[in-house]
Amino acid sequence: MTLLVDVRDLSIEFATARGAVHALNRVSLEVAKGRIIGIVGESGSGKSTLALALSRLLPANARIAAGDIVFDGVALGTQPERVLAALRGARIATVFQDPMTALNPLFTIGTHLGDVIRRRRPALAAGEVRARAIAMLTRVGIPDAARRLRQHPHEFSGGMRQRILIAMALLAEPDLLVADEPTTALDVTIERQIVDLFRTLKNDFAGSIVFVSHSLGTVAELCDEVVVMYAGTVVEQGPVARVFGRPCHPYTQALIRCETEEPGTGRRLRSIPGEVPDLVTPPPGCPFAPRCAEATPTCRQAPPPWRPQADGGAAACVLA
Amino acid sequence: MTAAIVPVADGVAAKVWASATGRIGVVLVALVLAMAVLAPLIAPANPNAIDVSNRFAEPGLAAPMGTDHLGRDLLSRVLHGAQIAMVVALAVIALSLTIGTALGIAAAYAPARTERLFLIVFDVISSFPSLVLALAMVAILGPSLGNVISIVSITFIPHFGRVARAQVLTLKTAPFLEASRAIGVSRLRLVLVHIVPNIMGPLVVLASMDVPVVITIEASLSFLGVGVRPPLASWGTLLYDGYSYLTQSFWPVLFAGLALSVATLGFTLFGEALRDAVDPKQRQVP
Amino acid sequence: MSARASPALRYLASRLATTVLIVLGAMVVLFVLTLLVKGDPASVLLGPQATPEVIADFHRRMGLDRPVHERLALFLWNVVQGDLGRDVVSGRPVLDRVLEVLPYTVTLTAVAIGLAVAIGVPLGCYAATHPGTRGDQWLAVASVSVIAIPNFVIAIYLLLVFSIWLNWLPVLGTGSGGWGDSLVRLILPSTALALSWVGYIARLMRTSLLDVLGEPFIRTSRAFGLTERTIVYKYALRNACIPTIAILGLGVGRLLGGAIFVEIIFARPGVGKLIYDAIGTRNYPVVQGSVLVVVVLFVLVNLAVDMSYAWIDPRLRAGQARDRADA
Repeated sequence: MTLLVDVRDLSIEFATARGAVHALNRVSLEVAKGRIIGIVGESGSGKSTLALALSRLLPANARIAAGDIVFDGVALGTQPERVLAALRGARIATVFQDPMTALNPLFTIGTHLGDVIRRRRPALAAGEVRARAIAMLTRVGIPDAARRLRQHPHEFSGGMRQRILIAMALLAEPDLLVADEPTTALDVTIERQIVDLFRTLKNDFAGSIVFVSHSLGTVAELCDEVVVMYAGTVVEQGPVARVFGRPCHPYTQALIRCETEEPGTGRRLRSIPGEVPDLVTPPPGCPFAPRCAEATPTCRQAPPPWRPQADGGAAACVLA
Repeated sequence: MTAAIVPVADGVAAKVWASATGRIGVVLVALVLAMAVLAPLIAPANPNAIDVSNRFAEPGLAAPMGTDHLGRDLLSRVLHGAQIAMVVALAVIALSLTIGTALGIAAAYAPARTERLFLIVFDVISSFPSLVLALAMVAILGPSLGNVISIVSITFIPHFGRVARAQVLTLKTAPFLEASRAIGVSRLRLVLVHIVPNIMGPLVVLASMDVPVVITIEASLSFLGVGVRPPLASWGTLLYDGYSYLTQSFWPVLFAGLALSVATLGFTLFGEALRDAVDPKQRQVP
Repeated sequence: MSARASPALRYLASRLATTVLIVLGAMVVLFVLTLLVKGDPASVLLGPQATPEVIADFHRRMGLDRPVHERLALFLWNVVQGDLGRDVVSGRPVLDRVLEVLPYTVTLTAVAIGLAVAIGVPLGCYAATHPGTRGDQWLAVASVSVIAIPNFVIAIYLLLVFSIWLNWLPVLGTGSGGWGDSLVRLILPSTALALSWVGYIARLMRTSLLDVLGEPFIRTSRAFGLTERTIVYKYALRNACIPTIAILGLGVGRLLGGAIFVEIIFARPGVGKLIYDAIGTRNYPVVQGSVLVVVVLFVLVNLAVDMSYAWIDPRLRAGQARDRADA
């Protein structure tokens, strides 16, 4: 399998008034063509930062401190904005977290979709553009699509707006679709519908998907591989069956315990004692050590070893 | 709680001085205030001394800004003009701030019907372009320094009244106020000791940003001949006189305009720096 | 109004009601002014030039012997019928005098607004898309200057530089030549009026556009690789217009006041010059009537500005933006 995205030892810092926030610390990630990768972790784990870094959509105060992102053989870290803009909307498409603010309130859905289609296929006639928009809206589950094209975002509920944003992402016909917590801002019942939508769409989608979520259940349902993040580092990764069936890292184990303790809600209870470390001054050694029940003295002093597992993937833990 | 103002003031002064525009503003404002206060002392001549033999003199040693169409020394007239501008500005702001705040507080505590009446009155007054209203009123009632001050104050009262009312409304439900009421503090004392100091911040900023507007209105009214009367000479009067004789000498217009520009620009820069230092989120009109 | 009436109509109706109230209030204020004049209102209001016939007519029409509330009613009734009194000097109806000079003022103001938007908007966009650069800083300085300095000072300086020192443009009046001459004579006055507005608009556009460019929906456009030109000029600009127009609407009063000075300084006919001359000749009915017309115009412009939001912002057309519960 050829690699579409190869993130190598990526470290990203945000410049803030308090100092540099180390959002990502030597993160590596491989996305093969046609695969669906899930990224899980709690708030502040760096999962969104990683996802947005793939198309370099981070805010102005973000800086690549080390490492690089290689997209289909091209290193993105040093490319000018021009090159990156050429990739976005054509080879990489993103679905953001909050559908309520992601659409421009003054423009119709038709304009939003039309601009995405025309950017991807500039030669299309107006009628063809409209036909594609209607077809895609219908496909993502918006009825009466032709009439809806003339409406504005405020005339749609949150769940429908997210469907529209997914439609836009698919209309870009990308090689990589990045979904940054697409269901976090939605009600539980709507969340279920959007996850179902992803499940239906992924079979027809030829490209790769990076799906960021805080819900292990969703990732288990939709993804081929999963990456578990904590405090800006990858603590475990591998095929979904292996990671959830036989988790090696104490954090992954704790996460799974949390989720299985609350069946039916899909929400994880914060029952891991302790707090996420301060990312301005990250501690030496394993970032999870302060909260880990099985931590050894070496865990606190030296970064954990990366232990590949025979049945797939790897974990960053002395115990793996 | 009353002491909340003092520590804020320290930080604010430093921030104003730190910004380039703030510094320029402070310097210009100081210059204008100095001119106003020191006018009688440093003016080389009596601003009203007519000397027909010396009309339209070019700037020179005897008359550093030249003379006007009646031979009066321009520098002296400009300096005394600063006095007029500052007196009017301060009087108008003081009056409208006090009355407006009082009315605004009253409106906030009044029963709903009365409050609506206040707001309608505020709306009606502020719906007039203030210059046109002032113009009409002064024209009909007769120009004089007192009239100018009173009438311009009236046009600014709704301005302060609305902001004061809004501030009081957000403050009304604050726990410390309810606590004071619970232990039996009288309403009047409540207002004077607790409410007023806490709403002064935005009001003071608003007032400082209104100074250049008042200066402009006063100068406009004097320019049109309905402002202050001789022997008082405002910059507006100087500009009109200069304009009337523009083809014979441009120095009066140049210097009077310069003085007015320095004053308005200086107070505007200062007011904006002050606003940014106190609360950058207040920027609603750039 | 029935519950099913469109929210837009309801909004329009309430704004109209407020407008009517305000105009009424203005008329009351102007009426009250006449009461405040000391001495015999007739002779003081009409001035020393009034003939006995005019005074008698005034007394009769004003019903000066009647109680105050009757006089107020009579005044309001007269105004509603379009009777704003008579010019003291010529005896002509005030309304006629105002209407015959109004087109000049409207032309001047319209050209000035056009200039201000044509220059101010692009400048503001440039500053917002190149923040912190030298150009941006210079623009900031220039904007503050033209906003702070009174516009009649700017007008006189312009007159001084371009007509007197450089002799490039004709000085005063509207001229008697054809289109070309009128147009040339319009340049300086409209520029003088427009200049402070250029500063205002440029700053407003810069602030609004910068705010909009930080919004999440702009990030969406970027994420789809739309060109910077499309993002700024097709999308962000329209969003930025809303707060810009809102605040411009608040400043319309200043523009009207500025027109008065420009007309006087450049000796152009118009409502401003009419008011000014009337003050000089103590032609108070003309002052009163013209001020009333100006106020009504001002209020109508504000109303139009308010209505324009609804056109630009589709959320207002549909009433409060509400999110529907269904998925």
